[in-house]
Amino acid sequence: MVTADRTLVKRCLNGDEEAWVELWAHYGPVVKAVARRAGCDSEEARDVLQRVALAALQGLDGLRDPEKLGGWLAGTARYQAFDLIRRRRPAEQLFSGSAVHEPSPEESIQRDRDLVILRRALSDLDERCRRMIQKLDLADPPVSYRDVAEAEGLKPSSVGPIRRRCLNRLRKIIDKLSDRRSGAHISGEG
Amino acid sequence: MSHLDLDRIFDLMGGSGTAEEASHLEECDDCRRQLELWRTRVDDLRTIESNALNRAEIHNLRVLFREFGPSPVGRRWAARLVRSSQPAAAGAVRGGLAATFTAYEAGPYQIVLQVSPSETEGRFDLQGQVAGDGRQIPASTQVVLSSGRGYADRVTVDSFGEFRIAGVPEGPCRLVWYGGGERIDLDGLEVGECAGDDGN
Repeated sequence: MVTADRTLVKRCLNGDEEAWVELWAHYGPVVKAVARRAGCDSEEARDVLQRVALAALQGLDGLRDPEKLGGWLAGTARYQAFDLIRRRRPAEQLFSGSAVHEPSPEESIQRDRDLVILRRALSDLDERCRRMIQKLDLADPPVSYRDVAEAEGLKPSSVGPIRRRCLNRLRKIIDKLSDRRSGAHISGEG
Repeated sequence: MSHLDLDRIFDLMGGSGTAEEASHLEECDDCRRQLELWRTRVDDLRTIESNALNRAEIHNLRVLFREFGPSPVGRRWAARLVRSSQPAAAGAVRGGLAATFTAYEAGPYQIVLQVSPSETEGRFDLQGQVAGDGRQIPASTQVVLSSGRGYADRVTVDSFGEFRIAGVPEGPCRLVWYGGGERIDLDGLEVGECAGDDGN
């Protein structure tokens, strides 16, 4: 839950390297996903990850509310991604017209924050539910009900109902986390 | 037909659904929005999963933390050069390059570095020893070396305070020793052939 972020930040500030690794194992994929969504290729997304990590090292102790760590990292990732793209590509490519609906900055920020919540919600699920959702809904192509049943020691007929229960649990966690959501700020220098 | 409950939405998301439900979806904005919301959520989760960090990325982040992160106990020493490069003993000379010794002092500690050409052209081996002004060097201390060219390595110092890092690329680099809450930072090291030193 969100208090986990507070503990994680505190441990990082105490020089706990494993907490630092834990932080990035959790939020690193979100940072890269935000960068990709902002228009970075996979190489640029890795650069954004490094930049955000450096920014976190410099700014972690200035985070007013460590429980908003995820939102702050996503916001920093978006800023760094745009900065990187601006430096590497001609300006006209950034602002070229497109027939596809481009989300407004507010919509983009909202979606980045949603990523943070989804990441947290999935990791807060119990192990079996997380596995089921990963196999049945996130894998490409999805694993068949029969194979999931065999791997989990279930009857094939019970896979569907369990999947629904797991998605419902996910929904409850998302709702709970969404209620607490708001922005985060870094104070002080830098 | 009344609104589809969430279980039916989940089924539709999984690809199953009746003709009646499909026709309800066409007419009902609320149910369609609900289905779209969950499709977006699943897509987003898939994007996150596909961006999981690999071992190399985790390693790079570890090195970053060791170089620039907060020190566990607290004392950091910025080293100063106390003796410039000097010609090595004849036995250390290899090819046209000379191994050189350089000593750095930081608080009660001293790090002596010996640089010699590696078997690979353009690369160098770094051997060093940490000495503690009569005090015991904590066991299993670490040395991290990184260069601006993306090279990074970490080695453990042995019980004699010695360490060796092989294949360091020519150019500027940074070496950090840490252990027992102490840390010595050798920033701005230059590894390469020593100009004007003929090794004799």
